[in-house]
Amino acid sequence: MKKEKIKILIAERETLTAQKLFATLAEMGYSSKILTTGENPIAAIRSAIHEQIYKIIFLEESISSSQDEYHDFQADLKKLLPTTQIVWIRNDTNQRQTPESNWTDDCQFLLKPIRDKNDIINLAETCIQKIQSNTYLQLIKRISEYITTKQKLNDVLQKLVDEVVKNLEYETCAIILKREDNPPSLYIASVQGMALEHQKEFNLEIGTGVTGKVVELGRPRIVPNIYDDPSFNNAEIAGEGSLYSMASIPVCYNQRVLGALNVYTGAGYVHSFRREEIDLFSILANWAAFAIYTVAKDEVKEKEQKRLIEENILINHFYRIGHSIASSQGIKKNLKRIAQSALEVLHAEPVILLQYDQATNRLIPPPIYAGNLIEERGYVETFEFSGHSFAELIVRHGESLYIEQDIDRNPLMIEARKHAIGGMPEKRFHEREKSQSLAALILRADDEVVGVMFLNYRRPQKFSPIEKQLMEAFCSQAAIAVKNSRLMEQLRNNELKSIFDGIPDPIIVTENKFEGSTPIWLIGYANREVHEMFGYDFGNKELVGKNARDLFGKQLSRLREALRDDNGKISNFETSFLHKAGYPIPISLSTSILEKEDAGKILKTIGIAKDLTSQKELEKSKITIDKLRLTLADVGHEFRSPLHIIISQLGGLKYHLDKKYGEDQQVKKVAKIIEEEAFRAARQMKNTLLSTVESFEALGANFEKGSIGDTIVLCANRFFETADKRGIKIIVWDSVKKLPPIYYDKTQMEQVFTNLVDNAVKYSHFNQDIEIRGKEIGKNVEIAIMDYGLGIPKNQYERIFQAFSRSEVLDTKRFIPGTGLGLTIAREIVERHKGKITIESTPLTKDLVKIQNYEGYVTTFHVLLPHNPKEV
Amino acid sequence: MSKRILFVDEEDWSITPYFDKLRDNSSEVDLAIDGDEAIDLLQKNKYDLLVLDIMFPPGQKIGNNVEPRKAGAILLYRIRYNEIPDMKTTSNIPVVVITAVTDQKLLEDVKQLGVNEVFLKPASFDQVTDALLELVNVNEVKKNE
Repeated sequence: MKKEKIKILIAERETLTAQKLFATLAEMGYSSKILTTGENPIAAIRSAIHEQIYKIIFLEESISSSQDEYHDFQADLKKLLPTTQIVWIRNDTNQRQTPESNWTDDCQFLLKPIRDKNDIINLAETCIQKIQSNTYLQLIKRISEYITTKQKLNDVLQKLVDEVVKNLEYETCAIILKREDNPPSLYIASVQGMALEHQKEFNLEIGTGVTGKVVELGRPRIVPNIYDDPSFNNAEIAGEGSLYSMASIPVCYNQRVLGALNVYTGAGYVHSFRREEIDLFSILANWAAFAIYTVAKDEVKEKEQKRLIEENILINHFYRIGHSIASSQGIKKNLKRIAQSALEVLHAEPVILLQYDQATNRLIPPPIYAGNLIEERGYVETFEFSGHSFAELIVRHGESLYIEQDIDRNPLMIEARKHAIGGMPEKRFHEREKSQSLAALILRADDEVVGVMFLNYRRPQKFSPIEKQLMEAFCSQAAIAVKNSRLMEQLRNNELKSIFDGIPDPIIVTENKFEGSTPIWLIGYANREVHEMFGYDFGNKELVGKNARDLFGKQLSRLREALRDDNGKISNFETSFLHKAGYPIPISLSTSILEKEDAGKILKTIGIAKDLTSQKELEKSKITIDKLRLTLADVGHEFRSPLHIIISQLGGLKYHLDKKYGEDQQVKKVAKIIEEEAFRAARQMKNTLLSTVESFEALGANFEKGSIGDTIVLCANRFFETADKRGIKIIVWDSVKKLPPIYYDKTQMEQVFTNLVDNAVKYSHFNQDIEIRGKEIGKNVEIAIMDYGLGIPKNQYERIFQAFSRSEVLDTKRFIPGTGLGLTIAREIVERHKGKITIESTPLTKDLVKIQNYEGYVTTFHVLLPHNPKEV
Repeated sequence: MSKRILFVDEEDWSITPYFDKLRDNSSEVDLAIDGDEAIDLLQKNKYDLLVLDIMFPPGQKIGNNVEPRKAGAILLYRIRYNEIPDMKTTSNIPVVVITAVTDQKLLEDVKQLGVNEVFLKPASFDQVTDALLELVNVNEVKKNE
């Protein structure tokens, strides 16, 4: 504190004392003022201290006579403490007015008359010290308050030096700190009272100069005259700034030297730093150290908090990813979520995610994106999978790639362009999206690469090690998410498959992919029934993976359209499926959409097939009356033409003979006979064939209750002679005769059993018996006609019921006549009765040759008839 | 002046026995065994009588994928409605059908186009030849009832 700045007031009416005080104080270097008290001394004093702040007031104790006035005055004086020191001048004999005891300690006392001027000196110095201590206290209070409110470190350090210079009246104060570089260096952290250009030139080095040594040794140094001290190496600057004395105190925390606090005095003369000053500087230095440590700690904490918050965001994202896996959403939805999370956590835009199938070594389209695309149209086409595309090269590279700039100059990108097949898009994805930086990350879970994720940044990025770590952590989580999704999907599929395996109907599931916009439907699953129906091997799942177009043919397009039109479900779609042997099998398909994209593309379908072959055969073999008539008409034609030729030729011949030889009776007769027989043949043929059809059509069916056994016996008897001629007995068992009465058309059933027995006799071997048995089955009766002779191959069971088809099994020894209509008509009639005819033909011999020739077979025709056709 | 008869039948053995008797009765005869030959001959000559089976190979001009049983009806239709270009024969030529086809509907279709007589194969030699010789002198087709 500069002495000039200390104002002293002397309020003593005794002139001698006042003058002694004045002189002594002047000698000490202090300026003081003797107050002219006048009539009202207290008023004068009041006025004086109102005008000016006095640091010391010498006050005559008996200055006022009024008790009340004095009392008030003292109260006012009290308020001036402690920045102003009061010295009561007391008459050493006069004890009349003493100041109140409670503030006695805060004042000084000077006895008058003053005999020793040292009393004055000591008093003055005591007062100055008190004032100084108070100043220090106030300063410390202010700084402590400052420090305990949240401040930036630099502000705290500046506050310290500012207080030192402004409030303690030093010339310059600086805090110098150590930078932990390699090697460590010193820098001015804060300074007050030094010109900027001086700051820049200020020489600081650890180990040299005053500050340097203080920092190195960690011990304070006082330099009374910096110009005398050889270790001071900033003399020039100091000179320009008129610095003189210096105190350098180390700033230490936890025994580590962080820097130094330097205080400089000006004034051109040596300033002796007192103990209190040094102590104060130490306090400030310690505060600086504490601030550095604490604020730094705070800043670290803040960073840590930020990191925790970010981690929290990250955790949040992982939670969402995990949650979506647990809720078993489709894999595409999960991928979308992961991409979206990457967008938010890693601040990339856009994010592209591609699945990878390690088994087939292929990336799986389509690419999933999150964020806003600059060019949304056609972005899928920028990802081609030629085997050498950028994405595939990254996978082969095996490691994530961080490209901070010049994406096009990246070696993998260049290699990808080299291999581009014709038709590669003009602009690559990163060009369209104006990416400046790109992170190409591999998603790997358990050593399996499951995908590739591209993080595009439209502003250039520097990928710090911590950011890379964060990305890798995110990727491994995302990879697990993808892998789990796939496993879930597989599990679901397997579940479905095991259900389908158990269903006895043929079930086909297609899994559809798209090449551009062209749909390709593949067989994703086909159960055993499908494989067996179409001749494929179920064990090897032969049908899985086949192109549905190859199997359904052109019908597939119709099927697709039908599914779209009918809200994804159609039943009884007639189409055909290619048997392995190469021929199409007619089927009726009931199918529906299992899974489709939001855009409407069908991703999976499921269908149940029904074989229509037997139905179609049935339809084929079901001869309608018209068709029968038509067939017969054609047959009629075949008979008539030759007969006409015979008659015409005969006519021509007769005419020629008549012309040449004249009319001859013999010739005329012969010609007539021939003509007549030809006409008869024509008539016969017409009657046999056509009458069948006509009568059949005309009569309809007349169901009457009767004994079918009687009818059968009647039919059997018709063939007695014919059978007997070949040693064949026709045995009608009692079981037939005892059958309960049923409703049937007598005439027609006669026809049926006539035809059946006729067949039995025709195909029986010599000397074998034909047996007819009957039994009741529920609401039906069944009659079995059994013969032992030529057998019927299984694959002809259906065919022989067709019109004009004869058995292809020929008897080697004799010609078997027949028109091939008998069974056709028999079946037509039985079905009119709502019944059924079935065949069984099995070999009885073990002779392989005979078996191959269909000899020695037991052939049974089963006729099933209901009690009442009208009730079926 | 001799009359000219055109026969259309794929089986020539059915028809050729008539030729002797017909020629002896001043009729010239031609035989076409399919639709193309029939149309060619109709374009070449003026016939006084047409004798046809309603079923024969249609040929290219009628249409190779036409059913044979419909060939006769189509040919007669074209004759009646003048759809054969440059036909020398008049469209209302008398027609006799000799056929083995018994399909009533087909026969009706043909009869609708105007037929003088129908013989079902096998047909009596004398009956046929007598009828032909009579009709060859008729100048027009019998009207429909």
